[in-house]
Amino acid sequence: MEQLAIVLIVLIFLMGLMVPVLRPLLKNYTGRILALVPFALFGALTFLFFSLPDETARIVETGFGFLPEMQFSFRIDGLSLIFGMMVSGIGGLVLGYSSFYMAKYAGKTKFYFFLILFMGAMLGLVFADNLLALFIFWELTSITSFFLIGFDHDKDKPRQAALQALLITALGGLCLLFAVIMIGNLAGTFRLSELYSQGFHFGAHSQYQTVFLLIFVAVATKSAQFPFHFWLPGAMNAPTPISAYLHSATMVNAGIFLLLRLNPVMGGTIAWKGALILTGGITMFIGAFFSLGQKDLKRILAFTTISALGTMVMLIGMNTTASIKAALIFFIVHGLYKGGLFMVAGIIDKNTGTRDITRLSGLLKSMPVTSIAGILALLSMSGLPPMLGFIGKELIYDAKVQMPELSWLVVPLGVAANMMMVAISILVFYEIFIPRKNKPAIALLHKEKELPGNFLAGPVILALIGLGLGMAPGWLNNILSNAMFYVQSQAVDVHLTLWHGFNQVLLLSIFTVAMGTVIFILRRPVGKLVGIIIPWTDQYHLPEKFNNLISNYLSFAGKHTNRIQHGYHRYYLITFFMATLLLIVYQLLSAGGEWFHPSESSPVRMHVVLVLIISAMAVLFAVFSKSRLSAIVSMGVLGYGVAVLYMFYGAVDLAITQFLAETIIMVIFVMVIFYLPDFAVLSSKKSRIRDAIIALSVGAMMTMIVLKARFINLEEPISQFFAEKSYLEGHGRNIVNVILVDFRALDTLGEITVLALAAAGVFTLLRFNPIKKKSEK
Amino acid sequence: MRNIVLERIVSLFLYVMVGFALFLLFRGHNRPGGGFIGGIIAAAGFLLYGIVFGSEKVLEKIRVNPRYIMGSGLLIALLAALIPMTLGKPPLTGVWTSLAGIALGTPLLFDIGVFVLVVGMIVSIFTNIMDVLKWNS
Repeated sequence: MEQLAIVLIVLIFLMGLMVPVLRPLLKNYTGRILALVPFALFGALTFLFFSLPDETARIVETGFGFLPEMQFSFRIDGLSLIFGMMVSGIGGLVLGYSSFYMAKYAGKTKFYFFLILFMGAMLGLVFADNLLALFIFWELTSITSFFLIGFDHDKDKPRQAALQALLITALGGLCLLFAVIMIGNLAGTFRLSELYSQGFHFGAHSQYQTVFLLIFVAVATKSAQFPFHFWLPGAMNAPTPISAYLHSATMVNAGIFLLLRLNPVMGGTIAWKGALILTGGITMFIGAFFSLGQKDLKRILAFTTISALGTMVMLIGMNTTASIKAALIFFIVHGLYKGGLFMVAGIIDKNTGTRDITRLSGLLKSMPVTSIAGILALLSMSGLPPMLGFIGKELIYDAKVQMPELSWLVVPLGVAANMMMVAISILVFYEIFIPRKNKPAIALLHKEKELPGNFLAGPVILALIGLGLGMAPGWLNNILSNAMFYVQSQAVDVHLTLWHGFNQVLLLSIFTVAMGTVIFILRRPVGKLVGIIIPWTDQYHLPEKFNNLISNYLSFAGKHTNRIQHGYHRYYLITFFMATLLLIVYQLLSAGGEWFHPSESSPVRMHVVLVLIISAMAVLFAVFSKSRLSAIVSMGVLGYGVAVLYMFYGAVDLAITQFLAETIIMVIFVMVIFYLPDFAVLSSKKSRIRDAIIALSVGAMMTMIVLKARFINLEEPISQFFAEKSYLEGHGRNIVNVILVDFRALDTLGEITVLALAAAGVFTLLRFNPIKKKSEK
Repeated sequence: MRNIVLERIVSLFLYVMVGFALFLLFRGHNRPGGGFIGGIIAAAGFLLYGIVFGSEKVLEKIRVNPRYIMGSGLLIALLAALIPMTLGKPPLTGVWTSLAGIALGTPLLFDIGVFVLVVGMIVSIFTNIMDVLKWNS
């Protein structure tokens, strides 16, 4: 079954790559049919979910890898199962949902292509057993999400949001790479299973602070923690199915996953606790706070996601058994309700044409199914029974109250954030679902019955799962125990119940709900307060600051590039030749030794001299010629002269090639030259003298190299090796050719690639002229 | 002004050139020749043909877009690089079999790739230049 699960993950990747081929075949059913694979994976994982014994992890080796240290091996344990089931299950629902949502969009192929690859990357990340493989999948999610966020690439805003998300998450990705390499070097292995079994923990190591900082930046950027949180609200410029997926189970949760994965290796130190609790707390609070001031349903949800991510980071930072358990449960809770709410927002948007909560109202009557799914999700979000959200929130409070040194800080922060969550839930519920007298019910484009089942299925199923798990949380006990074992590296028995008894935590909950209701009732003054604070913080509007930073950087780089890359071919050549000249002449002179050995002098051969004289004359003629055509022809004479010299010394292949290349070049030159204007003397005498000096010195340098080369042998010459092996192992008597296609085939492969690129360059230079094309038509 | 004698000779000569190029390609492993040289000679045949008949006729003659020829050359060479990998050897290792006493191997395939690419490249370049210059007699 483990193998099947891994095969299905690979299949998801293949499926993503095949989308351009599959979509014309499947037409409008693409989303629904492709959703079957994630569902199959979900099924396989469910089976494992029930059959995986406590305190075991299954490792699946694929035997495929880029390096010995970088094998794509996968591990299935409680943690990866929880994340994997959320990713595959919600992924399947999102695909089915997209089928209708995206029906009228252009570029559906692109959409499915990146969405499915993104899903595959996320699954790979979650199941990876090798830290380097994990990094690769991590980067893949960044790249594919860039394309998903910027799906409406012809609009300015999504493009900017996508670029911002990419730059920020790529920064984190680089940090992760360094961190992973450092961990690998410290531990001597990149495999999680070995790290876990060795009980490796380097909290006391001198490099721990560096690694932790890198990991922290990686997590904070990916999971939108303060001060990197600002890319996430921008990311909701993507179509709603993508937002639903990015926010609920994937992308931003990758950071949470990484923290949980690395907890046994580096968790629990002072730095870990301090940094995570502080950032998580701040993020939790400001996310909830900003959500109060928003009008756009998706924006509200985006800010509550930030708050939820902050909660999870903080819980992981607290690093107690209770807090890790709470974090795991809260991940499930949040995935279920946030996915559902985003899908509900998408349905409402599609069916009414707006997401503005001040304009929406009375949907409970006109769209009962959607509304009930939405209301259940809202219940879960505000942490009310009988939803799973209630259990999640109880556990969070429990963990916070139990935190001995810091409960004075985390409890009020958490209660405040939750109060705002409750308030925003009631606000959304009141504004958009309840029919009201002073606000006309909004007109629908379709009746709810006319919406296809797969469109409504997503939120309904997620809401029902949230409800079901709330009623019977015992289902999660086993898997949570297993996950806890690998996160906390100690065996923990988990027993979840809906009813905890009447205690301090329940009192806190009641207080939270009561205060949330108060905030809701006082929403006008609170709204005003938020309205004052938000413009004030907007002076420090981070997205714009970030954009300014990037554009300043680009213009700075542009200026300097213009100075270095001036575009004058002659100066490039001068730079190139002078640098080479100085370096090589210095080397040659400092090498010492003899330049010429008398015993090597051989009788002067007249025919060679003759060829040399002709070539030299051709060069002189080319230099002083007044006509382009004759200059070119005399250069051709030089080329042929060189080819003849090759012939004299027995390099037949070389000579043939030289002859042929020279011929083709001549013909093409002549073709083009015919259309060029006559020679004109544009350069001053001074610069011509300078050029002549450079040319002569480069010639002198080449002569020196050739003379000296015979006395310098840095390595044993390998011509003997080629001569010996050519026929025996290369099956060829023509050594030149065997070298080209066998011994040095990689060089040749590179060279022919360059040839192809050159031809492509010629093509684009000659043909890419949009203005001319239009005028011709 | 048409020159019928020249046209006849050139259109016959094209086949001679391409045939000779193929000959050089296949004998290249033991005597002077090889993919690169063969490729240039075949391309020179097309170039000659193009000078007399114009670039459109060349494209008609080879039927396929020369850029596709170029691409397939690159793919053939890549294939020759990948075949050894399926046998668990490093890429580009020569893999040889013998057919009726003649040794055949991936280096030959590689050489064919070079040949195809060079033909495609030169034909692509000169037909483009001729097109832009309106060289269609």
